Amino acid sequence: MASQQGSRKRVKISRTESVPVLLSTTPKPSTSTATTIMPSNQGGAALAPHELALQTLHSDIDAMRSLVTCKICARMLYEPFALSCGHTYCYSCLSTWLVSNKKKTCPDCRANITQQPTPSYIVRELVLIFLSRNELLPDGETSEEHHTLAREEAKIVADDRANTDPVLGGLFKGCFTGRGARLTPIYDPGDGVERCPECHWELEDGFCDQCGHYMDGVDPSDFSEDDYDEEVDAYYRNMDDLEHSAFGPDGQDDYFGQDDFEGQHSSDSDVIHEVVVRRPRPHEQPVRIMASLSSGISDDSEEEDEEEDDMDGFVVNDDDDVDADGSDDDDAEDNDETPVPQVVSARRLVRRQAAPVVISDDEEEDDSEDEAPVSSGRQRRKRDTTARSAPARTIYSDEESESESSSGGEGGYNHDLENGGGFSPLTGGAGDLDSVQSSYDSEQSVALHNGWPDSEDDGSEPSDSEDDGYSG
Amino acid sequence: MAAPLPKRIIKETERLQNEPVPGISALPHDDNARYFDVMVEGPGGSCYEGGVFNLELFLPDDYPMTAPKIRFLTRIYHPNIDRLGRICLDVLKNNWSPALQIRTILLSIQALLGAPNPEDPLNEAVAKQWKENQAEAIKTAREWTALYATAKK
Repeated sequence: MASQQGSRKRVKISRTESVPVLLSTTPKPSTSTATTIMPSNQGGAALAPHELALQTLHSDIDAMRSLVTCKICARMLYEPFALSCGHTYCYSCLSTWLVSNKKKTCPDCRANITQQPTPSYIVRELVLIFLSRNELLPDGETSEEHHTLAREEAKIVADDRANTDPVLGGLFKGCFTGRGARLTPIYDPGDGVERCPECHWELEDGFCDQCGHYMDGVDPSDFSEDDYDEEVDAYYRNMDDLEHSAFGPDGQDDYFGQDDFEGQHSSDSDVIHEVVVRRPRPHEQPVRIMASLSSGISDDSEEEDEEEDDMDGFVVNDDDDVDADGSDDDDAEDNDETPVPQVVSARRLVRRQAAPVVISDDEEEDDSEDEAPVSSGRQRRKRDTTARSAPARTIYSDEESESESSSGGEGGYNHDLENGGGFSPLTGGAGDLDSVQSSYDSEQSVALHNGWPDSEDDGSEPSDSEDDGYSG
Repeated sequence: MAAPLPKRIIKETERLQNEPVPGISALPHDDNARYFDVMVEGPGGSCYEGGVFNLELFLPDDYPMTAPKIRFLTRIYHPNIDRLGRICLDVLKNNWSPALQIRTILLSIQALLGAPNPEDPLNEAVAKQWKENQAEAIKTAREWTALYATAKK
């Protein structure tokens, strides 16, 4: 039959084949009746018009069926997937071919394949039509066997799709979405070349001669580590600037200067006494902070309140100036820049103790006002957002508690204790500077940890969209 | 053979017999449907014209994901075919594609006979001769064809 011959060819070919057959059979009715499905030749001699039409139809159907046959496995396209170049194959063939080759190309046109093939639903429906009737299938093949094969193929697709393995999960064994797909060239500063992430061979035009790994130059996943580092560096430089400007000579004088402490000391002896009495409490706090860090956010607000109480004891005279420039600033900042790296309230505690200049009646506002001269709005806002959205902290609980105990716990709290006990202006001031420094170090490290997820998000955004591109 | 023969191989074999490529034939062994005895005629106009070259072809288990293994059994003087009959042809190596078939590969081999490529040699001695003295090389190729590829059928 012409269909058998043409089954692995393009329509064009099978059509041209089928036409001569058709023509040649016209004078020989016996063969034509043999090839028609329904031998309804009452006359027997000539080919009736409807028979001719039927035969044409038959060859067309053969051509169509050959079109919905996978060129690789010669089976029907039960689960057809189209490549970006336009060629379509069945899922299991395409998956095997693409997964086994680092340089992914179209089997037909050798186009580079960087996007995940997309299911072709129309072709799938067409195949189902063929499967539904034995008459539409090649001789000797039944609808049942084809349906069995179709179910097997569908299961392969469903299994791969349901696989959540980060590396091999997803369609095409994750070779477009998994970790393997995101490998980026490794820059070798020694030789000044980019190297293959798989075998460290030198890459030439994004192609590894050693292992065949291919890098698409415009791939969004190409976001190199250098760029990333730079971005992160820039971010921290920014942070540093903020801290420095906040604690510039002026800020220090205003805030941690010995004058203030002296003033505090002399003017409010009651308060100081109270502080002395209370001071041991912060000492407990590292433990409690860690507990709360590990246990989650539940007792966060409570702690905050206590903290406020503690600070209530501190009364400072520079209340008014602070209020003046602090509040405006504060409002604006709070409204404007909410989505900024969140800083854990543990850090906030440290900072507060390191900078014992607090007056408070109501919580948030005063809190920020107090620190207005010191911290730029951004930092304040960070703290505030943290207070509200504490969940982020649980992720980094380990590092935090670590930095807490190392710098905050020993540096910050002890100094505070010293201050509370003696309040010698010198030790108080110097100690406080130290503690501030250490607490800010810890803060920075917290910010560091906090900074990661944000900048990581930035980094991975392109690849996310890339994923979308694949799945779409 | 333990595993059933893939439909693809059955189809290809059928088609090779039903619609043979001119100047090429490939017959599977009775006891191993993946092993083919291949015969390729030297292309007209080449120094291999008139020769009939025997090859062996084996379809590995992962065919068509990997290329068939093909080797000349008849001795041939060609810069891209070595003494053991191994063939240097890109589509048999890194340029293999599962859309290629036995028949297309055999056609490629036939085309390689018609267009030797001494720049990418497998047989250094022949390639050197081909580059330095092409007339002599072609003469040798003709002699070899007459000597090894014509007598038996």
